[in-house]
Amino acid sequence: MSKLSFRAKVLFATLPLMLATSISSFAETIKIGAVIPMTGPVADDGAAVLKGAKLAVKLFNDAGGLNGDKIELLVEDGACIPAQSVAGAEKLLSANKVVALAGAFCSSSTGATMDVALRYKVPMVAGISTAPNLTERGNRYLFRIQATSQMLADAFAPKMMEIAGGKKVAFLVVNDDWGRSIAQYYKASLERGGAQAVTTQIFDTNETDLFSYITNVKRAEPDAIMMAANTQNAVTLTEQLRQMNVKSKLFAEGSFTAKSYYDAVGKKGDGIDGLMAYVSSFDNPVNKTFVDMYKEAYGELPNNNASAGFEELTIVTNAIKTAGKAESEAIRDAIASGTTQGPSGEIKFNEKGQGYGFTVFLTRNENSKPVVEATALIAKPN
Amino acid sequence: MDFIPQYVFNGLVVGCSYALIAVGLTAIFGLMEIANFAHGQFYMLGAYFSYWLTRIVGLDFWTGLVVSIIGVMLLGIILERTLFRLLRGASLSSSVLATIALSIFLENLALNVWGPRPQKILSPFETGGIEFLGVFTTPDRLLMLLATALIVILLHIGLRHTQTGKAIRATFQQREAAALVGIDIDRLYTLTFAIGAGLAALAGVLLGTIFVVQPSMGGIATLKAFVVVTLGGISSFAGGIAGGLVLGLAESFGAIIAPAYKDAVGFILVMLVLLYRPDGLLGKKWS
Repeated sequence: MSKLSFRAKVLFATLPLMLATSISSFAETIKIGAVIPMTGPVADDGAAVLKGAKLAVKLFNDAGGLNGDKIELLVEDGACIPAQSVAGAEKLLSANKVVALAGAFCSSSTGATMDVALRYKVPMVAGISTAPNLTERGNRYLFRIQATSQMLADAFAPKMMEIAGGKKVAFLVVNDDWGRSIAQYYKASLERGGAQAVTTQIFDTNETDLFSYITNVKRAEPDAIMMAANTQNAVTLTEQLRQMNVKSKLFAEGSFTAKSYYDAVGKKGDGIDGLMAYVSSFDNPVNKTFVDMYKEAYGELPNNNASAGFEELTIVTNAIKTAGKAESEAIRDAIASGTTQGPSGEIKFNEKGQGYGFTVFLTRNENSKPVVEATALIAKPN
Repeated sequence: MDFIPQYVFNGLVVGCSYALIAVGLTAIFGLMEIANFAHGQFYMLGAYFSYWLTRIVGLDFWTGLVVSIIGVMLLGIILERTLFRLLRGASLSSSVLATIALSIFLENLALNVWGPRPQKILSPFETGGIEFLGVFTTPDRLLMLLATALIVILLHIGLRHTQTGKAIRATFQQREAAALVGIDIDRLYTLTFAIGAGLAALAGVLLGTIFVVQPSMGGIATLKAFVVVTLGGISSFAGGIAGGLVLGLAESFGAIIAPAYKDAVGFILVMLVLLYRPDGLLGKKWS
């Protein structure tokens, strides 16, 4: 027997094995990318987004995926720095060849990353970013599931005026697109209702001593203060507003209802009103499933960031099911024309990629829990 | 005008923390000629050690304070004996790169061990603000002022009136000559590094009761410390303290004029100082 025929025998013997493995690898993974801040001042909020996102992926995979193809979620740390977020998205799109993107948390980072998504013609779902201009740029690959600051302001301005019990409003916001647009749009909405904006203080996200800004606000003697801050800044703001004995009514967007926030400030956070995209107590079957899964997986209630992460990936996984294939353009079209049931109700998109149809909340912190004071349905924007 | 004392006080408290961090940085730079970009991480680690000791282990604040400072000093000694000894005599760019790498490593280590969630060190005092002469403040902030004053006095006495202090000053002026007359340079380096790290840790613990403790807090502290050192004069202890207070006050008053550009005020000051007093406010000629 020659050597060659021995090789041939080995080949024939192993052929079935090779075939078997190659058949099983026909069940491919669908790669989806997420650009989330995992380091830096909003790392804790980013971690919540990821927790939520993982659950949506788990739901999809446990239900059998797309004809057996499972989703693999690939995460890049954008740190809420636009340049780093763009680099993360580039890597996900060029090296990992993801078919859809989620991210990038901070509006400034989303604004930079959405251009990369457009270049690669890959749909991107933004869950947190509320700066209104993002959906005004004619980028057909961007879908925003969050109500913009403008929508929230329009929805709740009359109620805010009623609660404030006076006309003078001050703004105390973080220095990025989100914070600045809150100052801009809440000011416009509230002023239409007869309010008067007395001062706008803009602080940097890395700053720890906000006494100077709070002193400025105090001098203006406002009836109400509107704030925008994620966990770290929200904790600092709350502590220091209390230390400086500020008596104005406090309103906020951001992480003023996060568990980490309550853990850090305790009862000092009570009495603050939040304009929220999500509350875990909302009565809705999708939310019930989500809250149960979340509690089981992480032992705590989900906050608005976790819900946004869950919803971002739910929209992508639904679109993949609807499209019946994991191709970017098909997923984009399925997102654009579809309706998804999310934790805050149904969500559809207008031609600019702005989501609507869901419920938003005005909450008040009582005993370190958000209690719903008012709700509003986000109508289709023009 | 009623608010002016409030701004002065705000500025002084922040300035004291800048000063405490910068004094260590300037000592290390002056003595060892190493620009330590990981200095802010000692501040961060001080805060985390104290958080861990008081909130998890259950020590009281003051014991936690002392143990945290000693812990960071020990880490400083280990780093000085290993990494920084290798960097001695290396070019400035090598030491900058190595210490930046160290800072990234330590920050991510903290992120890994303690997570991204902002934490607080429980204050040893009753919480809540106090008011005197129209100025709102808290006991923690007063402690910061007091601690800095105490450190300034101790440093002054230590440097002027002890044998070691004189040796440090001699080495500052002329390293080779100091070695020639029998000063143990290695021992001085270790000591200075440990003190610098310890002061940063002290600032971290004290500020951890006032603000929040986060892995990323070290980077911004390093940046501010370099601004302070440039302002006050490289390798000048008094300059480090004066620079810290000047920067703190400038930022506080900058917040009245242009709140969104508060941080820019510090850097404009640095540019002006570099234009008109290139050696810093209290610096000696640097060769």
